[in-house]
This record gives sequence, structure tokens and C-alpha cells, in this order.
Amino acid sequence: MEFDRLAEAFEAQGYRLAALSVDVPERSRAVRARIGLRMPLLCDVMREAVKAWDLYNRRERGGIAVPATVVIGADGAIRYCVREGMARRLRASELLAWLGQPGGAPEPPRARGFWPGWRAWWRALQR
Amino acid sequence: MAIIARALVAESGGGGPAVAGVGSYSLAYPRFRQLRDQSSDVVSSVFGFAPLGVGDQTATFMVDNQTVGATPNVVRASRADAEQRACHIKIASVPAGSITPANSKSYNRGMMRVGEAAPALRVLDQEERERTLTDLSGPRGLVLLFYRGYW
Repeated sequence: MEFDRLAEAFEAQGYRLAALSVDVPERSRAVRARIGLRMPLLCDVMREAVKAWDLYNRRERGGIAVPATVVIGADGAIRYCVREGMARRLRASELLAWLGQPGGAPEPPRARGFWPGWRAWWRALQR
Repeated sequence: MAIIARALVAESGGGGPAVAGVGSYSLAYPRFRQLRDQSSDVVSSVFGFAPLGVGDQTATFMVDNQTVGATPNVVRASRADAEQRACHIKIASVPAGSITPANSKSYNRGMMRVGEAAPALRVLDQEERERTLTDLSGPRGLVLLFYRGYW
């Protein structure tokens, strides 16, 4: 995960990273160990935070978070926010560059071509 | 600023959609920055229509960088379109800090806006410890990633 890989660079800029989903802590713990993430994974099991942020996708799996990246300043104000999609993700390096030299905000993430490999197809069929 | 605004209103006939986004920019003029949106993402989000073809994928935004410094006001947006000569121009008196691409309507419909206070956060982390924005935040702030979960 690009963000986690650049966590130290974000910290050098004075920003910490955290990720939030509606997963239960046990699942987040397993995911964190499996992928080797260092950032904390927040568990909004009651869906209160995602609803407060208006990032609640009620149509999938009983309600999950909409992918998004938000930068919150030390004063608690939102400095940057972008809603993302499956193939449209903000690059951590672009955000990092912007945090280091604020001016024009990072461009909205562009949709990128994605073709799942056979392994992904197989996993999807198994599910 | 006011003179430029009047001139642009006259040119456009006063119509056009509201400008709400900017692309990556390069310094092209002493007073204005010329913004180019090569991918047409911003064009479609600003004007509300999908790009028609390769020739349409360049839009030029003129932003006044004198008035608000780091967060410029967009004062003019024009669409370079060989078939449709009439440019879509709108004067936008957008408050500073609210014109990042993240606020363009096709991306962040209904989402929080830049400059607003972040909603309070009180959730458990993977170790079942209660966390808040305050203790998660670094000296300058926090980058919070929302993800789908169910990995």
C-alpha cells in the first residue's frame, strides 16, 4: 500500500496516517498483520463515522465505507478531501508533494485501466 | 479584478455553469496562472458534460493568484473546442479554500468541504483501543483514508 510505504515521509511533513473501514477489530487486526501495515486501522463498526462524513455506501454488504482520502489539519479543519472509486485512487506521492508545497491541490484521481489477473478471477468465483 | 470580471461576463453573455475545480497548473503569466486539464477530468466536472473526443480534452482556466495567494480564485474557464466555438465562461467568486478539485461536484457530491470542521471521530482501532482525531493527529494533522473493508 503506497500510503503506508510513504508513512515516514508523511510523518516528516508532520502528518500521521490512519485508515478507517466498517470492519470489526478482529478482521482489521488480521488484515494489518497479513499486509504488514503500520498505520492504525480504525473500525467504525456502528457506521457512525462514515455516516457523519457522508461516506456511507448502504448498497453493498450491508453498508460499507466509500473510499476517500481526507486531510485534516491540526486545527481540526478539512484541508483536502476527495471521494475515490475502485479504479480511481489518489496517489500518495501526489498528496505528499502537495502537503510539502501547498498551492494547487492535487488533481482529482483519474480512472485507470484495470484488468484482473486469473488469480483475482479465481478468487472472485470462489466467493 | 472587477474590470476583468465585467469583460468576461460580456464575452460569455453572463451564462455558463459555475466553476468549481482546477487542474494542475503552470505559471504562464505574471498575474494569471494558466491551468491545463489534459485528461478532461476537470472539464467534465466543471462543465457537467463528458468530453467529446481527443480534441476536446484541453481546457484553459485563468485564475487570479493575487487576491488569495496560495488558493487562487478561478475567474475564467474556457473550453477549447473546434466544433463549438462558443466558450463556456463564468465568473466565479469562490471563497478561498473551496475550489480544490476535491470539491468539484462529480467527485465529492454531498461530502465535507475544504475549510469545514471535521466531524468528531471516536472509534476503536484494530487493538480495540478507543481513538479520536486528537490522538491520531500528528503535529500538522492527519491523513485519513476511508476504505471499503471486507478484504
